[in-house]
Amino acid sequence: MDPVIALGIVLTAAAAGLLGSLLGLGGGIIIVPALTLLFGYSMQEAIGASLVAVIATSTGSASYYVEEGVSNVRLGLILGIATSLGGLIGAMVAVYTDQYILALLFGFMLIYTAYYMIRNSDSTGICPSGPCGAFDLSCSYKEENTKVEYGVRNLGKGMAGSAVGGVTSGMLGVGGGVVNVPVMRLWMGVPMRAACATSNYMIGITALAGAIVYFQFGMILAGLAAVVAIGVFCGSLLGSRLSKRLQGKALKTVFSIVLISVSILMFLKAAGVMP
Amino acid sequence: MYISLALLSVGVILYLVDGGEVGSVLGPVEAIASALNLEAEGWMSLGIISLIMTPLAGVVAALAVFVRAKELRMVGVSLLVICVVALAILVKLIA
Repeated sequence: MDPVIALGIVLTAAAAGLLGSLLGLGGGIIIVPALTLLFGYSMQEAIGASLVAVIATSTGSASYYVEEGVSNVRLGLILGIATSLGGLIGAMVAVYTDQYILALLFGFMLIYTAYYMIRNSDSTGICPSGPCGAFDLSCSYKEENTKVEYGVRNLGKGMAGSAVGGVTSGMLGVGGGVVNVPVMRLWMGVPMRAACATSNYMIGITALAGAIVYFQFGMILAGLAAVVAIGVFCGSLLGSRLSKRLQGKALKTVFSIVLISVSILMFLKAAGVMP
Repeated sequence: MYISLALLSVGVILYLVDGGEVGSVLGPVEAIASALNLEAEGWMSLGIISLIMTPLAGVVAALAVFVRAKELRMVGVSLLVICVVALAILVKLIA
């Protein structure tokens, strides 16, 4: 890898980490198109590097949320069975799938993410504390000096939804948070903050299963993954500091437009019009 | 996490100093041997392997907590997650 290209990838990954942190997304949604469209890597190589980056961003923030008690570790582990299995299956499918088909699927994923960012999904009530089947997944955390207590409902439905998030992650190299967060919030009645923190904990486990598959098939390029991981980590650190100062709504609208534009490029790549 | 980043950074610095070819991530044994020879590929591979394994360490830590608290159901859940990771490791053999 040429040092100038390496520097370009570090800067792109840092921008992905920064934007991802500001918008509450993993960097994968930006890294994969950037590596394929700007730097000419294959979809599988880009996805492999992206999964490593997803683990880097999730690990840093997940430990913070677990210590703060916002992540529901029990719920995260139970859903983690479904997401990691989904991640494993998704990665296996992606390894044997033509990269043009992956580009097409990624294009649809970008459109869904843009839609997810501009809609308001926080209108469902919180599930009251109490057991959910064989498990008591009730949890609480502090928000602005108030204790938020909640329970969890629809565990089976939630696991099915999380498995879809896992497949998406393993197949396309994204964190899967755009699927996991609405599943926990809308179907399972988990408060938004706890759903985001728990999703952050889960995406590390999900990406782990997918990354191991890509690693075994020799699809994680050491140099590429190293510079992407370093860039994303630095960008997400900066993003977490800036996030308190910036207003998210306008940024989300602009970024949604960017995502739709990039999805068009991905569709062109899928059609073989772009290299 | 910081150990992984340190290993990756050493790898990138060695690459910038020495150049050379860097391919796919090496297996753990090859990576250690390569790192001892001060090759960028070895350091990068060690950094990536340790980074990939960080979430697994989190699950193992949770398992230890549940074992100590005698929460048998959650012990089973943690073991199931570890089994899926083990399945991912064995998947190439199965495929």
